[in-house]
Amino acid sequence: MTQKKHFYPAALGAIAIALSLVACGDSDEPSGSGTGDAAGANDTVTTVWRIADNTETPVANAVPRFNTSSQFGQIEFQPQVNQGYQDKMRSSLGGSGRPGIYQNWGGGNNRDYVEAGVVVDLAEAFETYPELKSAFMPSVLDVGSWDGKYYGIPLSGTQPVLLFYNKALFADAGLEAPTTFSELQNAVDVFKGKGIIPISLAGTQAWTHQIYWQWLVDRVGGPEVFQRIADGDWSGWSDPAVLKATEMIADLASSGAFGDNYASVNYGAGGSETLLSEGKAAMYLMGSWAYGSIKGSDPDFVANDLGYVNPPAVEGGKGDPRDVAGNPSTFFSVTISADKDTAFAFLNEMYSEDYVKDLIAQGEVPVTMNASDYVDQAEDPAFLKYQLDMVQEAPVFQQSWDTAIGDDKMSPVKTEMQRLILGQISPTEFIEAVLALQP
Amino acid sequence: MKPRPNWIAGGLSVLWLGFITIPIYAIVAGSVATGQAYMKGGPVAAPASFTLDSFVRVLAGPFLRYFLNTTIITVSTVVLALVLALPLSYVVVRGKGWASRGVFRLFLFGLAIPSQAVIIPMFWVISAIGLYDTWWGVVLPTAAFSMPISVLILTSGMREITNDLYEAMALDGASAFKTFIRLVIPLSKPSIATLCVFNGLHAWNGFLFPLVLTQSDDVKVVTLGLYSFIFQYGADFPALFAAVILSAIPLVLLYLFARRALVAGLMGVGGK
Amino acid sequence: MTRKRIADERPVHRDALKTGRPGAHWAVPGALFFALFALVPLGVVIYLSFTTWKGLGDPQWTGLTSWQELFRDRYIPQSVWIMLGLLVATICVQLPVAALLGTWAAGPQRNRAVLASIYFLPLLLSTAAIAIVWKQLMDPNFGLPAHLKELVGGTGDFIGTSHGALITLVMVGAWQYIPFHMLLFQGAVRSIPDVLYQAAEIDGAGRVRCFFSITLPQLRNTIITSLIFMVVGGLTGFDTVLILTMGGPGRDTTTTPLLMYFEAFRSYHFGKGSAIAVLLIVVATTVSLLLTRLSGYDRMESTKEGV
Repeated sequence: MTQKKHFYPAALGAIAIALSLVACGDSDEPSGSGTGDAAGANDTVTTVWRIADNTETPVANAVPRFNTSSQFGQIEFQPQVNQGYQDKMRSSLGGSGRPGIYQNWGGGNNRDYVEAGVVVDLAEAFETYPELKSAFMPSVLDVGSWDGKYYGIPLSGTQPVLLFYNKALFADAGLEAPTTFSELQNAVDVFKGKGIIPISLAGTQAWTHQIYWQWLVDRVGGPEVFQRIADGDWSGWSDPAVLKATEMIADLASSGAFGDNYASVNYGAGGSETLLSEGKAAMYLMGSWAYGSIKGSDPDFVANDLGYVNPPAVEGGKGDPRDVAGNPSTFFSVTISADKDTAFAFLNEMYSEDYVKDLIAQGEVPVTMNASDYVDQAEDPAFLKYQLDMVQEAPVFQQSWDTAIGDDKMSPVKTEMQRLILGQISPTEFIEAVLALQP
Repeated sequence: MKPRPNWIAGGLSVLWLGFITIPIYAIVAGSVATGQAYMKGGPVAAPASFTLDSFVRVLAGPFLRYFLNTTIITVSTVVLALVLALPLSYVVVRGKGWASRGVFRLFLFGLAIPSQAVIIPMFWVISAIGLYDTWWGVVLPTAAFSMPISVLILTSGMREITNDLYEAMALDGASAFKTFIRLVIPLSKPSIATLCVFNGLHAWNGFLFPLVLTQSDDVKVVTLGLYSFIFQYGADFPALFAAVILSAIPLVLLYLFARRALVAGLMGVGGK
Repeated sequence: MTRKRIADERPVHRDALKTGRPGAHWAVPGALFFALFALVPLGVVIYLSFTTWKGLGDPQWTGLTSWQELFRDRYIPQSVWIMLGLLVATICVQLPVAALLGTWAAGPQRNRAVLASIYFLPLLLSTAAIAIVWKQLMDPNFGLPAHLKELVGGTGDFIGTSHGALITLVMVGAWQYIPFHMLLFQGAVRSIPDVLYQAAEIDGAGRVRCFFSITLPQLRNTIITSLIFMVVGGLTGFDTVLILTMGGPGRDTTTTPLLMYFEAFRSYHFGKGSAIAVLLIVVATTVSLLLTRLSGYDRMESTKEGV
């Protein structure tokens, strides 16, 4: 018992040590310690937030390239973990700890920050760098705009949704890739008869269900149907096209298009993607990013048997079958905390040859006007070209609904979509439930 | 107890062993598999490939730095929570009047404040006192949220200290402080050991506070580092599992080394 | 009791006893600390529950609007029931298993020490990693169900069903936290005096009888301690649910903390999210008060002091 009497002082000692360590941690505070070694540089440091993942290389390379020749301040790249990134933006953008430049998805998700007055209008940047505006596909640049003002410069590749399919399975069944909804239904029946899951769907995630509505509401009713909702008219959900699309999805689900255990299927590698590459499922409706991901786990399959087409048309539907849905790009926006000169100069790098080549090198499709000049240098030029053509020919690039109207509004809708496909609610109940979610 | 073998317990213990080891096998096998082999075989397949590539990749990043940060934050949190909760609990058990009663009620009330509920106000508080992006900015809130359970566990242990012992101390002319050091703390050993484990794990696993309250690599913790292997549309499973193993190894060694002391420390938890 | 009365008769002792008691000022640092870092933010949350706020700019005072929304939302009572159901199931699974395993591990045998060390491992892994690996394991086509369906049939659709998802959550919780509770029980069983068992042996009591009439009663306080940890964890934790089931299928595993998180950080309804947080704290405080009252943990002073 006696040897324990020093516990309290020992604990205080530990605190003192911890305190002194904290003091050390403070001493190498990054901000405000500009190096000033570049000619004419000011001593500001502008932080850049981008999600940390396997596609961060172009930005990670652009930062040191920019810093060595910067005529203004320096850029500091701070990669952010994907999990909780939105939470962190919410708590940081409003006040101290705000980054100088941050990645966002444009559309409704970024609108709150624009309204809160923390995002810089890029008109001034376009004045300084006239090429900056004309360097990107206008339809994509528009996604980062609001009320005629531009708030974002595309930083990543475009990601249209495609219908991926297993060529070997289709050849075995004597089928071609479906170009219409009835061909798709036919393929569903054929594969079901063969004991193969017709379409791989990751039922454990809500957002994977949304893709079906994005595709079919457009094909059935045209882009105006969702545009009305995106413009703020929530009653747009009562449009007959939404009900029709919902019924078609419910039919697919009840006819066994997703197999008998999709509700437990995980998204991605080891789940929905592996079903396709292992020949257990015939089709997969997913964003173009799935290509690189499947390639990572099964390069042979991608080289030999992975097919892809723009999702099928709907007979008698109003929508143009060339319409594309997905993620047009992600955007860098500048906050009021940034050194404007530095930030604008950095954004001007987003269409440089080095940057575009870096994007292509990792299989992304740049949304810059000069993209087609470099596409041939890609590892999979055919796939990149297919997407580029698809996006350039598309009358409408429908932004993923959750980013278009903001995940705040879309999140509970996606849950209802999940419930519909699960069969927990009927199509009319779905419409009622969504209308009741009016924000 | 009797030395004859206990077959039922033995059987159950083997069953439990299976339940425990399957996910651990998946983590270990996944960490040394190539990404392709892991995806093809699934999490419980027999190992088909062996590579330490994922460990190399993890260690090439600032993982060791994160590890050091987590260790410092965890130790500071545990110590701070104990240093503050011990005298408080002493007052609750031995103090007189409304103060001790009120303090205890206050902490009972705080038992179930979900940390995600207060994250934005917490961000304000931490920024206002200039601790954003520092170790203390994570330690202080984490310790504060460990206080209620600490007080509850400590007081329950201290209540079991019999009055004879206090009287004996009083007869020796011991002050409140001396009684605290000589009697209360030594007899609270099991509660303290319990809290070291519980609060330590809590701080070690913390995600939301470090996520929102820190920014730079200099103060980043392991949990955030783990999430850097989880992407928007997928994950680098071998690297993730390698990072999990690397972050657990020191704890496993610590446990193996201190196992006896830990179990001994826990003897008579919550009093008898 | 007797000792106390004797003490009272001797004034010299009463004075001495007085000097041995801590003043209220001992509690000041801890109480202030807790107030600043837990109660101040909590106060802000209560304030926010009377506002409409999207997380940016200034909150707008809108009185009871958020609370009215809260009482209209049928998912909120559902989430409370899911949370309490999971909590009860967790206790029913973890407590007996941890007590049995702890008792077993307290034995002196060498193989038990080795196994107990392996049993301990889950505790050392991070919650996120555990949830991710279990998610992989529950995949119907590549995980455990894929292997099980070869043996017992079925579709392997487990975590995607409402009951399966709930059972998975209880199971993963057990996998992760039983080692901790087992450790508590192991320590507690070790401290039970051998003489009790020796006496029982002389009376001819068997192993099962010993467990129920000696071990279990001696573990009363440990059981309560364990219960408190489980209740607090069950009422505030949401990491595992978020990663493992994301509250699904549909909303069938959306617990109140998760719902609060979704309202505040997905939908940016910080007003309503804060109201849910306040509701959660009320529910949780009720449960923990009940628990401490029933267990006698809310006694202000030691029973042995006889006040």
